[in-house]
Amino acid sequence: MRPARFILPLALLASACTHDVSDEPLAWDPTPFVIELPAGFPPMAVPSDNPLTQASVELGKTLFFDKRLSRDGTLSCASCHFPELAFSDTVPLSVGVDGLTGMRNAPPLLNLAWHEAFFRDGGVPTLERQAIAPVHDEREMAYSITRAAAALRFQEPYATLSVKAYGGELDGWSLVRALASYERTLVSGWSRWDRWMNGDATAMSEDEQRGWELFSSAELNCTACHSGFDFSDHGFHNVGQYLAYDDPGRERITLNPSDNGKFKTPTLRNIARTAPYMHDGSMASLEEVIDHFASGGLPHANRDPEMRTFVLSAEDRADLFAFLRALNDERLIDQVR
Amino acid sequence: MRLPSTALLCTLVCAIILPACRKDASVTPPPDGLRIRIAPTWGDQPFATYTEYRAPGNLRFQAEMLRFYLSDLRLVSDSGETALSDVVLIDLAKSDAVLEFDVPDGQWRGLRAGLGLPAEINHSNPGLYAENHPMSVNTGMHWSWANGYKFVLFDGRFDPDPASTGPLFSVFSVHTGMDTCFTEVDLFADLPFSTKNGSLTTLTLHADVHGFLQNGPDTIDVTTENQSHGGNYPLAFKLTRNVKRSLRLE
Repeated sequence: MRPARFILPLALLASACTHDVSDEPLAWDPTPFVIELPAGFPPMAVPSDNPLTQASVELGKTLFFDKRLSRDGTLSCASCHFPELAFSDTVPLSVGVDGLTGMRNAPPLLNLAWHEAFFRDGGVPTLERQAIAPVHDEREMAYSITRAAAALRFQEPYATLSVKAYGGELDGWSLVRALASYERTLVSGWSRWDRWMNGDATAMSEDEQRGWELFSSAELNCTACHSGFDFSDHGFHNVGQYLAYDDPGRERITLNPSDNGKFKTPTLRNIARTAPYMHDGSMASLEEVIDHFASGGLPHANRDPEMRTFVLSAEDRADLFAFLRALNDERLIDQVR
Repeated sequence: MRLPSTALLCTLVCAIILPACRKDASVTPPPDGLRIRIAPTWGDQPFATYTEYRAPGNLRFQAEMLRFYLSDLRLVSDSGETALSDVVLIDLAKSDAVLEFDVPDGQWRGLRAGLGLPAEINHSNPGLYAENHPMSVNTGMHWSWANGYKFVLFDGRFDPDPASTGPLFSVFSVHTGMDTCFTEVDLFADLPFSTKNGSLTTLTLHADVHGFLQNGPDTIDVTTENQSHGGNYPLAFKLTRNVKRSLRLE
C-alpha cells in the first residue's frame, strides 16, 4: 500500500489548486473607466496601448499616493501635487529626498489628457514617459520605476490590480502607464465661469463678468496665450521675466537660442489655488503676476511680441482677480471614488 | 528482496552524477570570437575612478563616474562593414570590462560606431528594456526630461586651487546627449586583424580620460566649464569631440 502515501497528498494539492482558480479568477479586466467631461470640452484622446480602464485608473491612483515610489519611502507623487491645491505644491521648488530641491515649480495636474508635450519645456511627448522622470530624478524621488515595481508587485493591492489593469505583474512600464491613466482622469472644467459660459447667468457676479471682459480685451491681451477650454495655447513663450535666464526653458530641448527663456503656457484653471507662480515659483501672489504682465516684461531678445503694457485701476484689478478666482472648480477634480 | 537503503541510493546517484560534471567541465570549448578589453588610462598612467590626477591647469581632479554609449558597432573591412552590436555601454569605472562578440571569419581594419545613440533608438521607450540591457532605465543614463539618453556621463570633483591639499569639493558634472551630440567614431587598428572560427581575437580599446579634458584644440577648463545637463551644449559638444579623439583601438 506504499503508493497511497503519494496519491493522497497529490489529490489534496490538485483539489486545492482547482479550488483557488475557480473561486478567484484573476485576469485582465477591460471594463472601461467612464470619464465625465465638462460641457464644451473636446473629446479626450487616449493612447491605444493604454486604454482607460477602471483597473488601470485605480492602480494609478494607488501608486500616485504611495510613498514607496521614492528611494527612502518618504515621498509620493501627492507629496508635491496636493489634490486640494489642484495637484500643485505650496512652495516655489518642491523638496525631494535628501532635502534636494527640484529645478522648477511643480505645476498643477489638470487636463493633461489634452497636452501634446510635458514639463514646462515640453521635452517629453507622452504622459506615460513623463511619469518616469520624477521617480528617477535625484532631486525628486531618486528611485527607479523598475525597482519600485519589483518592490510592490507581490503586495496587495498591486498583485491583483496589475493583473486586472495590464494582465500581468507590475513592472516599470505598467507602473508608468497606470500613473498616466490616473493623471488623464484629472479633468478641470467645473468652475463658475464654465457654468456662466454654458448659460447660467447667475453663476458669475457682475465684478467677475467685468473681470472676464478685461481678461478678454485686446488691451490686456491675456487670451493671446491663455485661450481655449484650458486657458492655455499649450505653446512656449518668453514673457520677459528675466533679462538672462538661469533656466534655458524650451532651449534646453531644442538647443535653439531663439527658444531661450520660453516655457509652456500654464492653464489658468484653479489659478487662485496654485501659488506660487511662474516656472520657478518666484512670484508668490497673483498680484505680483499681474504687475509683471502689466509692465510688459523685461526686454529679453525672445520676449513674446504679444507682451504689452497696460494700466489697471484699483477697481479693474479687483474685478480681474475676482474673475480669476471664478476659475476655481466647484467640485473635486479627481473622478476616482 | 530488500530495497536499498537511502545512503546506498545517494552513493549510487552521486557516482552517476559527479563523473558527468567532471566530463562537462573538461569539454568546455576554447573561447573564440572577438574580445575587446576596455583599457582606461590617464595619459600614460593607468586610470581608476576616485583617484587623484592633474587636470589641465595642473588642477587636482578625480573622476567618479564615467560612462558612454557606443551604438551600431561594426567591423570594418576593405569590402564593407559587418554588424557587431546595436548598443554597448562602456563603464570606465570597471577596471576589467570586456566586450565579447561572435564574429564571422574575416580580415578587418577596425571598428566603426556611433558615440551616443542614433535618434531612432535614443527616443525609444526605456520602460521596455530589460534590467540587464544597456538601455535599461536603471543604468543612470536615461534623461527622462529630454525623452532620451545621456550619451557621455562624466562626473568628478576638482580643486580650483592647484596648491591646495584639502578635500575636493568642486563638482564637475558634464553629461552630453540630445540628437545633435551624436557622432560617428572610427577606431582603426594600427595593423589589420583577423577573426577565425575556433580562435579568439583580442583587441584593446584604450580610452584616455585626460584626453577627454584636453585633446587637440579643445581644452576643458574645469574651473569654468564644469556643468552641462542639456543647457550648456557648447561644453557638451567639446566633450564629445574630445572623447571621440581619445579612443584608440589596438
